[in-house]
Amino acid sequence: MKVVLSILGLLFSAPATMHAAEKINLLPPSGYDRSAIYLNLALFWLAIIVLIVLIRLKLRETERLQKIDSRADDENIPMLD
Amino acid sequence: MRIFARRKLVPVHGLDLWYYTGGIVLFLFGIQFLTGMALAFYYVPYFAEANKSVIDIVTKLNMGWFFRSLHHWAAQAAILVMFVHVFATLLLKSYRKPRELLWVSGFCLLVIAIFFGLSGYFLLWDERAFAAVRVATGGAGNLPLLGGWIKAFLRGGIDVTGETLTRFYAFHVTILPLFTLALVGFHLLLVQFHGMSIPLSQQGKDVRRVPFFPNILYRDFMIWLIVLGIVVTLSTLLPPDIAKKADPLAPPPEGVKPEWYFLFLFQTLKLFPGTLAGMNGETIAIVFISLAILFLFLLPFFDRKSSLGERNPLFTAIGVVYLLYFVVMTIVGYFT
Repeated sequence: MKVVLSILGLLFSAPATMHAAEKINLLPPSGYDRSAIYLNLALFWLAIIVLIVLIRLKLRETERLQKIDSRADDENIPMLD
Repeated sequence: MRIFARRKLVPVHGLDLWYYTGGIVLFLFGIQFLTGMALAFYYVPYFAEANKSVIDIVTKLNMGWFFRSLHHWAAQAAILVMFVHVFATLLLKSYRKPRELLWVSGFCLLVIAIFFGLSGYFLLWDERAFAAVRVATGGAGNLPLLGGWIKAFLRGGIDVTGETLTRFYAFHVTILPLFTLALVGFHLLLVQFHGMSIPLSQQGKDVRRVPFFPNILYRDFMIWLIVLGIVVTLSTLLPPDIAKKADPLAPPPEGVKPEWYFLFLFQTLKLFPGTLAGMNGETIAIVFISLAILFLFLLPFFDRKSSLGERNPLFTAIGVVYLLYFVVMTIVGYFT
């Protein structure tokens, strides 16, 4: 009986394991690796936000200087009278 | 160069958001080149090994899954933003004289990007990609006169085989990148030569101009960072699947669909019956689609009014029809 059951078990488990083998792990399988990936993703977004804020500040400063320059140019225009 | 950088001015108005779509495509192309080069080190362009080499890249290489996923999602994003760029150009009439060649070169770049997508998809050598390429090359074969030759040229024989894989690999890694570099260079040169187009609705208004260096470039950087974040997030959370290895003798899998940018064509083909007036329905559909694409390609040469700076509601309506058709058919194709 044990032999019959083990043969039946093998028969039913073989297709199941074959199917499992076909499934490809598209991400590293271990939970530790996955949590590291998600943590890195969060840090990546944090770095992006910091960089955007820095560029935005730099852009504002540039625009402010450009406005001052254009005003100075206006004041330096020679008047006819 | 410094003088050129100082003199380059960009108009600022209510519709200037669309200017950034071109820069986004350029940025995504850069990602594609870098990730593509990394993947090419490990990919084996031989039908017996191709699928296994992709699985090895994903499962055995350090960060291989990420590079493949980033290559996939950046490609999807590049094609999507290119469509947005083309439709924005179409609806804002930015193609009008003297920018006809910009439209022509941009349109060619879109076609190349789509062929990049198809050839790259096939490199997986899985059953879905195999079926998709069989349908796509078979569709091209239905074109009258040149169809048979195009089909044989793309397939490298009568049917889709390992020869097709070799050809698609050559297209994907050498021929298409060379054409892309040349066309992007030409496109950018024309943009510098003609300057940014101002929409007809903004003409006559007092349009402010700001220097490209550094004002617009800083804005470009910010947008590129956001795009990079989105693409990296998609690559991490939704890595693209790999189906079963292709078997040329097996029937196509059920419910197989082409990539989203082919869905409108796929759906159009479904609208036509098998035979129409005694002729092959698919051939008629392919001719109809080809004529519609050719008309869109030559649109700047037909739209005389816009070239003279006058409003042309007819061509705006044509642009809207094209856009609606593309969007509706893509959605219908996706959900059916």
